[in-house]
Amino acid sequence: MNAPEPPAPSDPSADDARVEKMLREASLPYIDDAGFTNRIMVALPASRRHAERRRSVLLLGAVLLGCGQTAVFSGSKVLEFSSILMERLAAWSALPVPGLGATFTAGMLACWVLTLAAGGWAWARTRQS
Amino acid sequence: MNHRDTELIARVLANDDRHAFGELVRQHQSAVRGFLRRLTGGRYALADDLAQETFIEAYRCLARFHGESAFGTWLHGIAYNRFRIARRRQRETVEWTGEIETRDTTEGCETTSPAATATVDLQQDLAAALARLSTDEQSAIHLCYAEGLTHEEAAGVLGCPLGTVKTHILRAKDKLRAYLSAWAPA
Repeated sequence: MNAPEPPAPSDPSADDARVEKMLREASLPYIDDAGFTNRIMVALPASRRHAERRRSVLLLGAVLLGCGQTAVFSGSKVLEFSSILMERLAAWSALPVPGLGATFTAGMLACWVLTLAAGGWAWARTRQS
Repeated sequence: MNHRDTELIARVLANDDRHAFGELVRQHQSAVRGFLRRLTGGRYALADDLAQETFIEAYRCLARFHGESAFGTWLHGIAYNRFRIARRRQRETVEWTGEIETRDTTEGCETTSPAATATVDLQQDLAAALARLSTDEQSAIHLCYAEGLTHEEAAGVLGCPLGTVKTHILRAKDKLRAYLSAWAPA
């Protein structure tokens, strides 16, 4: 009597294709929202804009507070310090004090204008994007 | 990237448009929650908690999304990270909490034909076979086959080298071939 033939080995590439077909067809069913999005919206942190505005206000407040404290606690010493500083710088630069003062003032104004312009440009870019 | 997603993201970033972010959540919540349910082994409550953390982190970090990948792919990356953090925390404390929901896949289906019954049986066997894979293998298989990501995109989501993803997929398919050998044609 003839022994039964062993089963033919399966074709690995055909098996692979079969498994891949099963995987592609077995996609997960759609999950109903059922209030999930509402729960997310309630749990979202405070508005990003409010956070940035709050940060700007705090920073400006801290700067003003620092300047105010300096003025209050030093009293007239601030003006005296500024005057001595101008005289020392005038001696070093060989410029007259009024000219030096005007130069500093013009420089500070230019910095402020440039800073405001940069801030406005950045804000406009944010709005565009 | 999906044009609608691009528009919604731009609105959120420019005007902090929460309605637009809500639309993004609605569009992607099913895919993210499904992915997390697969990773957590059917713990629906835990998966939904992780999905919530995912979308909140996405809102906070939306400015960091530059469109190199699809928005859904980026969300899957965040979801996978939240899952890893939770699993690490779980190892330090107690086991996963929450009931494992065993859904009857035949619910609502009146299967009268043998073909329909066979389809349901195959789905159940496939789900059981997938559950026997490691988490990394399940993640790689899900991302590449259910979500349709390329191997490179899946590597980005999982935070591992491309070769590692390919190895996970090869090993997973080898195991699935063995587990599902009963379904091989005669």
